[in-house]
Amino acid sequence: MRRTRAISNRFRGWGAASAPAPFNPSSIPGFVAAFDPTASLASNKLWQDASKTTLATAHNDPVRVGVCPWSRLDWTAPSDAARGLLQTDGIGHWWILTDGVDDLYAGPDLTSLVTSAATVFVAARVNSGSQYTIYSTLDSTGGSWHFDAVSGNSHVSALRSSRVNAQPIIPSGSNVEILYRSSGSSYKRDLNGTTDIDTTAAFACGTKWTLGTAFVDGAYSGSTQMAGRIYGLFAFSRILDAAEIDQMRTYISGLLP
Amino acid sequence: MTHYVLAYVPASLRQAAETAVAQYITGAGDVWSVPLTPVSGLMSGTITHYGLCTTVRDTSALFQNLAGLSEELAGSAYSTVPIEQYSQPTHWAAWLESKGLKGYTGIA
Repeated sequence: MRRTRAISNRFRGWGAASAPAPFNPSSIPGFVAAFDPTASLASNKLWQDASKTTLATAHNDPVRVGVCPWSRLDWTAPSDAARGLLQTDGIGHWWILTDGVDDLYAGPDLTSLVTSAATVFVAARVNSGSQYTIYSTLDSTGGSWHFDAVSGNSHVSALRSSRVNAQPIIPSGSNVEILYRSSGSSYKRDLNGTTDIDTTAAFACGTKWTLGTAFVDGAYSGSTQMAGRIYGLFAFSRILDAAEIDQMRTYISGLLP
Repeated sequence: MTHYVLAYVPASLRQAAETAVAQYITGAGDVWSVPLTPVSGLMSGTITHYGLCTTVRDTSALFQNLAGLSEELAGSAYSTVPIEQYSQPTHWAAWLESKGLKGYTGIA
């Protein structure tokens, strides 16, 4: 009996040591980069200054640079005036608050990593205004709000859907999780898990994203920026399958208050 | 307490304004980054002013010197609001409109 118990304990110890690591977005093949304030904060990778000498750790600390904890790539505000604020609900959820004037974060150039296909998740919330339409880019026919993406010097991206007549209304104050899938010859967009664009129109994959940029409708003619919360952006260099999308959606839901 | 400072300067004074705030805001050089145009025209009209929005503590030198800076930069204006009370439509868009300005978006 004693020997059996000893062996059993040893196996329990081995089991604990070899338990799978907790899921994070980099666990999925094709992961290239993320802007994840919660994960960056947990690994001391949110900085108040460009030289990365002062950590952002507390509610309302400004954030100049957010480093992806897995790819080590930077998301950087172009000046101290353009820094968003790190905020929390006090129970473990963190986000970056953007002022709707000049706050934005330029992402890393992923040109060499994102080529023919991409999957991108964005989780955010628009804080003010009665409604926002999310659909397009520099389009004079109506309002738009989007996460900007640039490939080289051209504004083409997986994140944009210009010329696609789908203009879902996103009420302010609501969290929204947006999923973009671009194969180069087809494009899909989901809002909170429901596909609202599914087209064979070709949209080149974006490779450099800017968070916080927005083009909003006439009610907000004074702004070209998003006033709201950025919970995260997660980019992959291929089309994720359904199980992987579920994993990511579960992960993102844990980021949302 | 931390405040948002919202401000604009005439386009002709943009460089002078960058110099004026350089001693207060790290990374100045591209601080006045928001192009503005008269409210009466198209959002793709002439850029007449540049704006900014930044956070400062009310104990900071920048906050204490806002009036002096505004006086130094003729045609500029500023407003402050505690960050907990800030609303972009009210404290930026409507404030700009009251001054005859709106954002330049490049959209006709």
